[in-house]
Amino acid sequence: MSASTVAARSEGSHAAPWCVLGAGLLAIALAILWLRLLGPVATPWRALLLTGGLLTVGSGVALQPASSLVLLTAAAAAWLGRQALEPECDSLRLMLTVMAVFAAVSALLVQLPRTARRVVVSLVILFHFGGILSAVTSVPPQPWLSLWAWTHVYRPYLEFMYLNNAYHFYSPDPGPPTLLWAYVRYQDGTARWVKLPNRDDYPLAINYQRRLSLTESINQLTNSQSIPHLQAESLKQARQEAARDYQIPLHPSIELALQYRKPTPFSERMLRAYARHIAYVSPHLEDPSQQVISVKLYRVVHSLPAPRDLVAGLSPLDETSYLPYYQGEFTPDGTLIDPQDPFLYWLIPIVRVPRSSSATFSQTGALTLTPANSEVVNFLEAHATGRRPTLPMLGSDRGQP
Amino acid sequence: MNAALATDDTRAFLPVRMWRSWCRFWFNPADPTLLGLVRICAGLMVLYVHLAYTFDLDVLIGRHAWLDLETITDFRQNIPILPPTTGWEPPPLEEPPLDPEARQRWQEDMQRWGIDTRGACARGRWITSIWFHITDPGWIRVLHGCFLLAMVLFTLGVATRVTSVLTWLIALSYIQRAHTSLFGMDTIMIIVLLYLMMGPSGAALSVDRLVARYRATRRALATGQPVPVRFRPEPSVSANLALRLLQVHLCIIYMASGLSKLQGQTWWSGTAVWGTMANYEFSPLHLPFYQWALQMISQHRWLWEVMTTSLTLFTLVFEISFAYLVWLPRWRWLMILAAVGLHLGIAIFMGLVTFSLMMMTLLLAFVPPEAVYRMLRWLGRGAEDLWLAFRPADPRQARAASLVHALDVWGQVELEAAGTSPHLQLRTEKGELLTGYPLFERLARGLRLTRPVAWLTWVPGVGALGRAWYPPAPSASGPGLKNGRAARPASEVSEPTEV
Repeated sequence: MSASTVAARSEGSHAAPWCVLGAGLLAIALAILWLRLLGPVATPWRALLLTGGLLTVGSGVALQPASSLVLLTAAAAAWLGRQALEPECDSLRLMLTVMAVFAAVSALLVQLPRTARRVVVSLVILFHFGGILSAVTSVPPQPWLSLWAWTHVYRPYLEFMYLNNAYHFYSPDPGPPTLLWAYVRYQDGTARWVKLPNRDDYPLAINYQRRLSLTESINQLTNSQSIPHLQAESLKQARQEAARDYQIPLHPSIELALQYRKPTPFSERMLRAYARHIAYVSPHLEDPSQQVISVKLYRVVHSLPAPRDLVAGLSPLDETSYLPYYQGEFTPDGTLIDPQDPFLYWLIPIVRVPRSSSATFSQTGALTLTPANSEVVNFLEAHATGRRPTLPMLGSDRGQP
Repeated sequence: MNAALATDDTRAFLPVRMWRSWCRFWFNPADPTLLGLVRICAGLMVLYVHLAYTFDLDVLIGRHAWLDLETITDFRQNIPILPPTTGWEPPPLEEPPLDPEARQRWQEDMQRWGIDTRGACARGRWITSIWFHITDPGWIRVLHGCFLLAMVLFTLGVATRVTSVLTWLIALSYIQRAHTSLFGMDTIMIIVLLYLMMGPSGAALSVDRLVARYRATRRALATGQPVPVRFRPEPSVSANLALRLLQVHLCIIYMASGLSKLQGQTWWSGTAVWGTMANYEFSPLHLPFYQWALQMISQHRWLWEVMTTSLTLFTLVFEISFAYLVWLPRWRWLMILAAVGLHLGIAIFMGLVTFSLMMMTLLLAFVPPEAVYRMLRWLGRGAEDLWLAFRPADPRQARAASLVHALDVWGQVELEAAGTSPHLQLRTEKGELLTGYPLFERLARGLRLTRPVAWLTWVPGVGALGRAWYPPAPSASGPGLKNGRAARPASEVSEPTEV
């Protein structure tokens, strides 16, 4: 037996794959005929035939990937495969189109002499990383050139391949997490909270982390300074009147400009979709026949504990560390019930107030309050349930901003 | 050749020199073994991620998912794309349409997208997913099971040229459908899968490789050629291309991540890391010990400042300098270790275990192939030597010998092709001669590659079934023999060595 070292032959050089390609093309052709002659009947089986045909063609390419004729046949097969899909399957037709183009270009590439092939591949590499860089620099403030390139050149490529990320992890600063709390009301007048995410609800950490991403999608906010001055004054006035009428004051220790945060149109769409989903998956716990009549959503920011808070023994789960912003009440089909709600997009305070003090409510924000000398007033419960909050005795203008 | 090339290079024009350097970087053939290792690690991660989807199929990709089908379809078909203005002034505000129907459509659009869509240069998004079109819960589960199978095959390296493409398409389908539940791990996963699909990721450390070894051995035996003893996968240009793409992309990721942090105040003040360590929803702050540890550190300002500032600085320095230093041989291992440290920290203190593992998979692209071979040799250390005698003229024996040789990736079994026995014979280091099922059992337990599945031979009843189906050769049974094991002749028994 020889002790020499011999390089193994690569897996690609095998007998002609034409039988395999032929079988794949036949399956695709049958799928096309099926759709043309029978229409959308027994679609799963037609889809299976098409998938089997495409996989078979792919196997044929794998047997002889360096043949331009094989690649052209594969391109034709992918293009034909589109005809076996209904027009409604637009994204699958898009996928097959991309595969056909890729196979056709590869067929041309393998025919080129080595240097020309290297030049073409090099240009593709530069195009690819140019697109990556346009995505990386697409976050404002971005160069105009980058934005132009992304919009007019790279967008289809980056979106299709999911290469559109800017990799700005934890930048500019790591922020507090966003939670989603929903108050679900039923026909019989009962209600319950659905709070997302809860670690204990998920078997695997990755499922929990995906919920955190869900909640971040409602955290895209418009710039408060972009709101016209008159509109801002009108919103503030309406909120102050609501504070008097409903006894739900403004937060005493957070700057007014930060208490109103309107979501972007994208986040507004997400909120409507999430309201629909929550209404769909939150049956009445005791009587499933009771329909959901509305869902109140709150975008909740869970503040990060400062080192002094930990030193003072404050729990990271202290109620006052949660900052709920009211996102509206929705019908089960996701329609916002009252776009003129004075509390819409405003912070609903959960605060500590001194057990007894001559300070007014608005002055309590300046006091140093600990669990020992104060109690928590949860205006969120009052807002969600519609009940008047119970306030401890404070100065004469309690509840007034 | 290298000296001549160097001489040519120094004389050539700068563009020519640059082109040659570029070609050396991108188009030199490389051993695909490292790519195979990346495939295995990535495949395991991808499999885990999609197994986890099993618990969330309806809420993430079903019709009534968090991002329901109606909303995602509207986004992918209709979302307006506004181009950047080409002048210096913002575009003038247009009057609303006069036509009542057009005006109503315009108002609905404004409400839906929040912008005047008449200036849009395009609509919709170029995304594809099978889950846009399959919404029946039963079929979702059936397909999901098939997709998991494809991922298993990809991880094992079965028909990798096909399964790598399938795995990429499958991962893309989940990602494009469940847009709002994605995080950094998904971003990195699709990058790794893309480049694995482009390179020969099944050329090494794969079932495809074992099949190639089997075929090469069969060919050699059939043609009377010497059986290949040790053979490495052929270096290929596409393997190098895939590895370089992984490397360059990782450099871009770290650089972008590091530079973008410089916009943040807490990264400059040295306190940014606290924002991750004290984040209740991400960090282990719900664990009493971790909370106690943070409390204890917070009680000593100096300790707190040193910890946060050093970790913050480490993150910035590492991310910004990685793209330069990792290419220098002296710095490479340090950068790799620093990256592993960073991602271990992210996994422990931010709970992002899958993201960290996926980044470390991407980082494997920088590990020298020699290190992979050292690891493989280490895995094969102490393996026992075996000798397999077979008759090349017997097709069944030739096939069996080829199969053993294919599975014998650590070179434990020496094939002896001069056998005349009608049965395969296996000789061990201790001089035992095995045939029939005992031969198979010993090979399964002895070969390093088959050890993970050799536990099957210990299952009660398997041995008896095996012996009934594949009995030991009669000539191997005789006085003093048991179960097909022949004692070595007395003359061959070695005397105990006196120390």
